[in-house]
Amino acid sequence: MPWRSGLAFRVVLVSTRNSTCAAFAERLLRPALADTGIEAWAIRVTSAGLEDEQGARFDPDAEFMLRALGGNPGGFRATHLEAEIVDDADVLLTMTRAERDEVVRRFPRARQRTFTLVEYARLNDLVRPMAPLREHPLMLAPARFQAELTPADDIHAPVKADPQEYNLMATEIAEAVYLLAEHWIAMTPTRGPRRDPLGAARLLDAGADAEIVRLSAFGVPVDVQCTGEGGRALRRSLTAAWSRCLRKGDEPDSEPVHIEAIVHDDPTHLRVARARGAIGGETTADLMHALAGAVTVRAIDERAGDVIMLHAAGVSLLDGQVIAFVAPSGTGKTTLSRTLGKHYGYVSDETVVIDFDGTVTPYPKPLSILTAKHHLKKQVGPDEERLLMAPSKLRLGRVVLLNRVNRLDGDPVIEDVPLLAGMTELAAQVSYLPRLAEPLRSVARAIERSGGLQRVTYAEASDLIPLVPQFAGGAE
Amino acid sequence: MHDGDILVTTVDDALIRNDEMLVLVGSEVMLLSVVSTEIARVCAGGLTLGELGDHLFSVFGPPLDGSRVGERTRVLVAELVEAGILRVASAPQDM
Repeated sequence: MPWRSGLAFRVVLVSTRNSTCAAFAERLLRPALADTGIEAWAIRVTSAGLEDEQGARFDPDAEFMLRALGGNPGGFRATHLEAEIVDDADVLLTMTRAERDEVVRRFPRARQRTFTLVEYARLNDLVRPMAPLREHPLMLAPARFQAELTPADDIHAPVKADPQEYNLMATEIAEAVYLLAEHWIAMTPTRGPRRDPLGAARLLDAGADAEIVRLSAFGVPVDVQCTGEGGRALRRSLTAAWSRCLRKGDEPDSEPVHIEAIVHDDPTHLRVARARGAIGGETTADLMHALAGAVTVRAIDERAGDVIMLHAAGVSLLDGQVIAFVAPSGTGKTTLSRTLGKHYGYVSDETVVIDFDGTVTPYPKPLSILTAKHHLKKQVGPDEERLLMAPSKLRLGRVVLLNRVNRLDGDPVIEDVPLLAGMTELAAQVSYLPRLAEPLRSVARAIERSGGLQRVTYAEASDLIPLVPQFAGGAE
Repeated sequence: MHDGDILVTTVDDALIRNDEMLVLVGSEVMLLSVVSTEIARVCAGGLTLGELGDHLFSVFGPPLDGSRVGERTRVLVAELVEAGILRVASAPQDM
């Protein structure tokens, strides 16, 4: 199924001269996305230049290098970066820091959506946001300002007519592009079973080997079809880790979202599977993380506009009041869930879903825990972590903005936050905010009904354990 | 911009609390200052630039930086147009 918004994720690659680096990156990124099964209706990639003459042809040396890599420069004409292009883009990816600064200078409103290509790929790899792609630029914003950019965040600009220089540029662009494609595939919906140009059905007898895990992600039925030689092991791992999200009983009210997941050590099998929209990986661990993202994002996409979805960790008291701790990805929500969930009901480590009447639908998904060994996030089920179950009837008790610091003298500090200022900060953590009816007023009602917004400044998650009941008490 | 140009507020949603306004423009959420809030509020139904200047003077008095009301109003309006909060409709049929 396409994005529920009906809009593609719009990527614009920018360089000083469109006819060189940005065009090169565009003509590499498009086939890289297609190779991973992402189609143009899901992610639209174009390019533009800061100084090009409109309509200029591909730089001959860049074109030669692109062809050598199997790329297709056909039909290219340079586009000058104009306000209309900038306003339409979900993210602008420049080749260098200087170009990024120039884009922001010319178009100040694009500041939060403009990154260097390498910077964006690096941040995606670091933060691994689980949200629709269009929300990623804002979600990556806190991480981007934690360190200054360095020359490593620039794509090498080739000296004209030097093949080695073009080779270096091509290598750097390819690395960034393939890293992005790898992350995006799990975050992109598919249209369902489609083209099978290489006869995948003959290579993989998906029907005989398929094992289906039936999940419910905050009310959205999701069927994960586990295929490939590792399918059975994947099904077992999924069933264990997602134990609190398994769908039981009657057929769902709506058509399930279908995700095909394949574990195989043969790259050809994986490539064929991805071409038909499957999520593939060589190991179960690879797949478990990708699937956590895919299930979350597709469920968010399904419920866009129906409910308020916060990027938040949630725990509940015995009376069913849910405290939603809001924070950007990569800033401690999972650690908090893991710590507090041993004392309070575990609602979610990623997404707190609030209906307009204040009821909360739990999403007790596996926790994504970073392992030092593999630099991957391991998916650990709440049962394995011995997290407490949440009561069956939940309602929003408070929304709390998390402010984790490296060091704090004394106890955590809790403060009331003025509504409007707090919502300015909160907005980036609300999925599909514009799709809500009366977006700002809906969120404000939920917050005011639960006693208003608060912020907690803390250093250690364990310091918040005795404080959780203090947050609650505002729910009607 | 001319004094006869009509200004119209074009936000997707707005929330007012205590003389401050939070607006949603596309997917961007912005907290407006007290003066910008007043501009967005009175331009909701359309107002000329000249009328706006007169209104701001009556509510807030002369600009604190010593500039003329008309000049200051143009600066503020330009910022709000750039942010997508106001639109300039040159004629009534553009509203």
